[in-house]
Amino acid sequence: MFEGFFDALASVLNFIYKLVPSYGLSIMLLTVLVMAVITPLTIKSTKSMLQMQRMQPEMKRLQAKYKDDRERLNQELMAFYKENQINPLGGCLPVIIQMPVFIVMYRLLRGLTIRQGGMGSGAGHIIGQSVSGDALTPWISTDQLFRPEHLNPTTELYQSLSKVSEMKFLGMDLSLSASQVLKTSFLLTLPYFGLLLIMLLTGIYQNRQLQSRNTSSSVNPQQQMIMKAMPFFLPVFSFGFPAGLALYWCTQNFCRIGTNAYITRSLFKKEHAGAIETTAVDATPAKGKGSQKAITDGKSTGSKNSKGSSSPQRGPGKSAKSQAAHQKKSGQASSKQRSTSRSSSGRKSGDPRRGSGNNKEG
Amino acid sequence: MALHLNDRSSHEVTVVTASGPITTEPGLLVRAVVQVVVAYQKLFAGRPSPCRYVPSCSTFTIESLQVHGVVRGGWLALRRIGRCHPWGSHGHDPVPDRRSH
Repeated sequence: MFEGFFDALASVLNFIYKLVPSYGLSIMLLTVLVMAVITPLTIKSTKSMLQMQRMQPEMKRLQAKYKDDRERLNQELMAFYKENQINPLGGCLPVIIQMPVFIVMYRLLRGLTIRQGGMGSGAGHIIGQSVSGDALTPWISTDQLFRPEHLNPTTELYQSLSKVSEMKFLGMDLSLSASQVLKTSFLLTLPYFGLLLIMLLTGIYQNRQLQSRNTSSSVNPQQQMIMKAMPFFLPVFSFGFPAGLALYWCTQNFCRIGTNAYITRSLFKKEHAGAIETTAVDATPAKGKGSQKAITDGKSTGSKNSKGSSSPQRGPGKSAKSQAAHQKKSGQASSKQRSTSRSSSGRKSGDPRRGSGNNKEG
Repeated sequence: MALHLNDRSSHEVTVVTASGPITTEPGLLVRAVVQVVVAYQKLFAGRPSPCRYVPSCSTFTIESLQVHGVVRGGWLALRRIGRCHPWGSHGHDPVPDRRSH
């Protein structure tokens, strides 16, 4: 069922190989091409995700208000969607489908590095030698020539692969894994380790990028642990995978870092003020933990602002005086607001639409 | 539909449906799958949700597993995820009642 898909991808790889006759560069260029197709979708769906997130507190309010009357809730939500012209662009399915792109590349690269012969030819090799009385030499599977799958035998990539037993690139054989090479020589394994190290470092950096966007304040130590451990999984697994796959993963990490940087700069910076405010509103309806959460919210807002990476407070509160005046006013208005002065000052700096929405409600 | 995970030690789940509250004790398999979904939610907390629906696919999955069990609940969850794509509908999409199947 998916064979056609693999074949198509392999012929794209062959096309690239014709332009750039290097196995490693071809794999890298194919990765960049795949990422170039995915990236616009990622940017679009992130935009719509952020839009949805902006509306989340309002929707939660509606849900809480009509939780006993399902039909009414449905009507209200529909009206709300219409009013705000929400038309989500993304969805869970595309995100879930994107995850196994890795499996596709794995299958493709595995298929390309299939070698001639199998157990049978190994046995034949030994029997032939013993019958003719020659000195016995071991039959080594990794010394056999390639017989790539997914490729038409007339393609140039097939032709060149079927004449060699190695996929040479930067002193590595891309068809071998680090663990396989480590059995022969430690020195030869060094470039493989270098590749895995690049993979680890780019993975960690990517993780940091995503975490810096994390506007929620739920400081869950368990979650943080997993987040910190995540970038280590792939390099460790890749120790046993062909280096071509690690090369693919490294290239993809670089592409992702670029995309993330772009998205953070162009979309999240604009959203930041609103997003922080969203979490502050989110936290309040929670039962007992509500007040506690609100406090941590305030703290996280503060620390984020002090970093100065994206200070939403700095803009509106140009001078300390004006901010103090603001707080005085709010203090006079109600003592309740003072307790959450931090989040309320964040609210002021948030986008004005939010404020108008609140007025409508009240 | 509201879920009240009031007593975690006994794993009892009270599901308030249109026909009134039902208290069930989900099986081991349901609890295991729910834990996986909860882990996913925790891992991606703080990032914007990609979901088009209210409740989101993960919350829907947890509820539907607890209301309908692994087989039907899992099927409903898969169908929901299948609906959650750029050309699908959006808005309020709750877990159906237990009686309605």
